[in-house]
Amino acid sequence: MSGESQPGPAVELRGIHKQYGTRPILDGIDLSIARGEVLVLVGPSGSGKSTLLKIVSGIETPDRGEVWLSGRESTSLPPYRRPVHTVFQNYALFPHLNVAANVAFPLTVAGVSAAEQQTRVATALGWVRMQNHAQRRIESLSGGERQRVALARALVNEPQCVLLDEPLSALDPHLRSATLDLLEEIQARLGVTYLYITHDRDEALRLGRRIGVLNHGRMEHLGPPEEIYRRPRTAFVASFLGKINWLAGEVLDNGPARAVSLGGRAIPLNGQPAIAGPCKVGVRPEDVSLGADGWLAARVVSRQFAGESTLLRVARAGGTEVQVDQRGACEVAVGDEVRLAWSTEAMHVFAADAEAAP
Amino acid sequence: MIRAGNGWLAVPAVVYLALLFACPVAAVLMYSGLTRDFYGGVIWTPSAVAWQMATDAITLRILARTLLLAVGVTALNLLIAYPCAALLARLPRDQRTMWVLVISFPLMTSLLLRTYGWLNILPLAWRGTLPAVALVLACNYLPFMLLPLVKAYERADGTLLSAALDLGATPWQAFWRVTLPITKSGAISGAMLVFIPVTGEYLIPHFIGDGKVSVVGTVVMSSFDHRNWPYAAACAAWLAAIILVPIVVSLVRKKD
Repeated sequence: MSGESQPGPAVELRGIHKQYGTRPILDGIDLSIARGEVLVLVGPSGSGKSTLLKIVSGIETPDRGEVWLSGRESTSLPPYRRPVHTVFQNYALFPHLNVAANVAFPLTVAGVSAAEQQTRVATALGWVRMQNHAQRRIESLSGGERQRVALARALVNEPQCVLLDEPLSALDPHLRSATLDLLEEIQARLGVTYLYITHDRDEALRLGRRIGVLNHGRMEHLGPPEEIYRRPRTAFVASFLGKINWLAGEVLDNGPARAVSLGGRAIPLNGQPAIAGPCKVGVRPEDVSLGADGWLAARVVSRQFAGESTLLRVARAGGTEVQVDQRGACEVAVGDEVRLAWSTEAMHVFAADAEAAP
Repeated sequence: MIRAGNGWLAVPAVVYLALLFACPVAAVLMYSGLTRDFYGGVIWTPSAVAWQMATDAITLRILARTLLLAVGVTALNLLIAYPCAALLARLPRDQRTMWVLVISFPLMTSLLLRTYGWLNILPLAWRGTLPAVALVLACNYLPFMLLPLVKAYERADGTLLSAALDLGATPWQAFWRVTLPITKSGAISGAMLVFIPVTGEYLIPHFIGDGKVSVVGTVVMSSFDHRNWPYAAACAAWLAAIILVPIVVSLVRKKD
């Protein structure tokens, strides 16, 4: 199945629309995933990411738009004829089959000979380090082991693309990191394409070569993790992928020298979106520095030492609080008067009524 | 938690089984070996006449017809109940409960009334035929097949079927390799709940069969009318033996 000769990206979506009743779930999604890429779709629950995954796997069909898999028009292809397999959130392992028979399932239904099944199942179980559990019953496995069996089952006949539907959400936090390592290791080894959906920003930032942020069925931003984090296209993206302070300001449009007014200070804007009037300014806690000549005056309200950094809450004269994350030495104490500064690039300016993540 | 060693908890069940199952079965066996009293009941002298009658060609044909009927009704119910259960399992929980109630509702009306109702629905030419009896029995027993099957389908949650399709199984393969094995225990319970009472049915075969369809149940009933208790007892014992054999075999096989 790993035909290098087949043209086109592993997955391509063109103008996907889907609604349930009158409620739009997906509102014009365009997406192209290259062969061997790891693309993470992240968004809150109800953003449409699960529906998008089901449209790729064929369990759902779009109302409008096209699905192309490996250069082949597949919009109305049934799930069992698509070269993609899913790792389900609740594992969806067959309770009446043992580990080996679960992993062999895609081969069995494809009519692969018993001898070949045996070698390929052993190989797949080796990838997920479950080779010693082949004869175990599913109910005797832990959550992490079940997830690895589900992964082996999705990989065993080397599909073009593996769809991962929040595969870590049912696991303990300490198992998540180990499973992410395993997912990355397998991807590097097999060169398989991952389409991974999650609502967890840490998983997304760590795993994704590219990240797509979905909100209300729209792709708000699609790009590399650094770009999404450093230059978010919307207020929602800025606040969904990391902590951010929102400050109310106003854009002063003075021709070429545009600036934003914050607490009476005009801070120059270079290369920021062309909006005018009232705005919200986002600054991440780790981008705020404390110094004698900062933009805004504030007083330290609380100080929390967290090892590699110190977390401060500072209050401005009007009462608005700003979180500051100081790396390295931090000389200030509660009650100190400080001035807050940040670089122009660290400032994310959006319309005042732009939606931010809760 | 109830500890397995606490034997006293079994007392009510053992007393119940001894009084209401073992004793009557022993009485039936005993009656089948006694002499017929033409005024009802038995004369207390041993006799082999009832068993001679119960092993002749006529009785064996009736037994075979009874088993055929029970197998047919069970199979018909499986065929009807599987798609129904699949549909019901996909409904949201409250709607499913409502439909299960609707399906079991006929059970709450009088059996006699229901059976007379069928006499009005069935074409006249069908009356007195084995297939007509099977059809009415199947409708009557459908809830007993459907309820355990719906429960079994609830266990096999919908993502398992999606997973099978996603992993390359055609809908037929998914049914055969996933749905069927997972719902098998429910189907077996349902089949027992249908098969066993149908072998003893007499009312529906009597009315729908119009006196022309003889099964063990109707033979036992008419033997009481003819004051032939030993023969009725022998027929009943035959039936019990035939039903017990597969149950015992399946229990023994489970132990292995």
